[in-house]
Amino acid sequence: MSVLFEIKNLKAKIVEDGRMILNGVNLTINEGEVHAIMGPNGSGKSTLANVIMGSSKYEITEGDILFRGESILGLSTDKRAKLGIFMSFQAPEEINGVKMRQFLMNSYRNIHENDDSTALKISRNITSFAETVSMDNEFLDRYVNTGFSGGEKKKSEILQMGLLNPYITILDEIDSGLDVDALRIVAESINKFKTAQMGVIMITHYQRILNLVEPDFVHVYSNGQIIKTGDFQLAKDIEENGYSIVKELAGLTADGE
Amino acid sequence: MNTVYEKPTVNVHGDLLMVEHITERINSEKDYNKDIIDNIIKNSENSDLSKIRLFKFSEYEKLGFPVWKRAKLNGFDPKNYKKINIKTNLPLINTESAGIEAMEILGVYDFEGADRKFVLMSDAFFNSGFYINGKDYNNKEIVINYDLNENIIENTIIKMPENTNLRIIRIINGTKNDGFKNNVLRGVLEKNSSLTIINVNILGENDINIDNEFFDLKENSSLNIFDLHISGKISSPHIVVRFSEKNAKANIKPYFLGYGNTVTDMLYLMRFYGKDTFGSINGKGVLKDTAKSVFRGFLDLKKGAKEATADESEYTLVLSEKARAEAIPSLLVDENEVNAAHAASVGTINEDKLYYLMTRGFSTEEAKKLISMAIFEPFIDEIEQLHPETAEVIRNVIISKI
Repeated sequence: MSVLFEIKNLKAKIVEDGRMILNGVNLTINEGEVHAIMGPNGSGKSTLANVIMGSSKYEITEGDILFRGESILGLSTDKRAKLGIFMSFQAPEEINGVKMRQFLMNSYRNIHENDDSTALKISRNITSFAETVSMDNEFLDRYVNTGFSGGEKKKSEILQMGLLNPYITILDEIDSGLDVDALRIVAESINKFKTAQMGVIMITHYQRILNLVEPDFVHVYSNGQIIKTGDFQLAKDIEENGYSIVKELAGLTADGE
Repeated sequence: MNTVYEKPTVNVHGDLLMVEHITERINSEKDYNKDIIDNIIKNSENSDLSKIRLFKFSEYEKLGFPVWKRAKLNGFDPKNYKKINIKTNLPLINTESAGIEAMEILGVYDFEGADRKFVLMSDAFFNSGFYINGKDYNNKEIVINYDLNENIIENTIIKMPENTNLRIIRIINGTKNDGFKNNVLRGVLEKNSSLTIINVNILGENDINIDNEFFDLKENSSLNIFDLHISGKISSPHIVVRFSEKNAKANIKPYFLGYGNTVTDMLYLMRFYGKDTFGSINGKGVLKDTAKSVFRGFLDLKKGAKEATADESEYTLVLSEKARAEAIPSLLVDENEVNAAHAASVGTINEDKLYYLMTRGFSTEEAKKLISMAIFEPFIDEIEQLHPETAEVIRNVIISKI
């Protein structure tokens, strides 16, 4: 097991208004580990995901993000994706006019530039991944996420995780808006698609998905920082006691400063 | 025989009186003259047509060529006049040899077009064009290939008798020089007939293409026009649809791609007279570089067009700060019991979509190209259902130019 991904004292602000949004995040991920990041709504969990991907809406003011020991801060979003960093979106974009299957094929070619698989083989893989996530084949002939229900969009994101087979998978609230059946399918697919080489960051508000995809570490996130790290039991505590635990911890750090 | 004349601006609407714009004109020393028309008539066996040519010429000779500020046309010098041949997949009757039915349509239907001078040019001096009768080609597909290396002055007449159905694909291939095509097309759709026209204008950056089309729709007839304009120093479609009887339907889908210094100057006019008629204009386009587009969509619902539905939308994606998109939608309603809506907007690349694609490994440029191409895909998909070869041509051209 080796260090795959490190976030070191990461601080960032929103470009538009200059507001600080990450206040010193530290996180180390080894191959094969699943890390859950939990926090109340509005705590900036999604921002962390987007800063990792290099969204132009945020500017890093301090700290670093290392992939296999090398900083990725100088890389554009597409270059980060090509390194094998993948993010599933909480609200995936609809791109009318781009066919889903073609989009998936091109994404695969982008990320796996040295793979000389035939188009037919990739296309078959796509079909098979669609089956795994219980997505009707008909959706592959539609335009990207266009006319998809919330659940179908999430399945489409997980399909992409499976197809692109990244080293770092960031799942941003993959469980939001899913009914019980869809949640089970999505969770089972995540378990199937994650590999011993892959590190997973699961950003979530609720414990329910963690019952299905068990995390190695649970981090409590608040006010742009990880304020507590524990194991699965921490998620259970939060489920029982709510995020009041966060308030207590936030209070502690405030006192400590 | 009553004549029908349509122009975009009708001066009186209820109590409202409009002031008409007077086009500035410049006479050309190279303009086609009496000698040319006399020579055409001398070699023609169609006396009815010769009378029409002469009649149109009497108006033509009084007009100079227009000055179009938006499209940067500053008068015009016609090229040397000669007769030409145009390639078609099926044998067609030339307008020059057309009989009385065609002459009636020529005599009855007239319009202002992109400019009156250009309509008259094609009426008096056409050197090509066809008379297409739907009953001779029922349920068939006509493909016409135009090559702008020829100086094309076209006059085409389409008659769709009752219960006929026809599809016409007009492919215009531009030049690297200064090609010119001017067209007048008149179509009459009788009861229950159906006509689909796919106009594929793939121009060079110095070509001028003026396409004047006028359709009269009788009871329960149906017209579909796909109108694609790629590039062109000036590409100027002027399409008029007259819903003269009840239940007539028409859809126009204008799509355009401008790049370099090209100008796409479009006018689509739907005028509703009949009850329960339905017309829609749904346009989309992409502009790059310093290209310019002008989109005029007129929906004009006349008194008596009860329960007519008129709908118009237009969206232009602008990829460069120097590109200019103008949309001028207008809705004129003289009848109370109608459903009418219009919308036009101009946008740039959506940053969130761009970012989403980049997280899937597309570079900024690739993602922009994909989003731009996506504008055309639904249009190409539709054409694919009708004529796969044409869809392939369009897709390849757009991919190479976008």
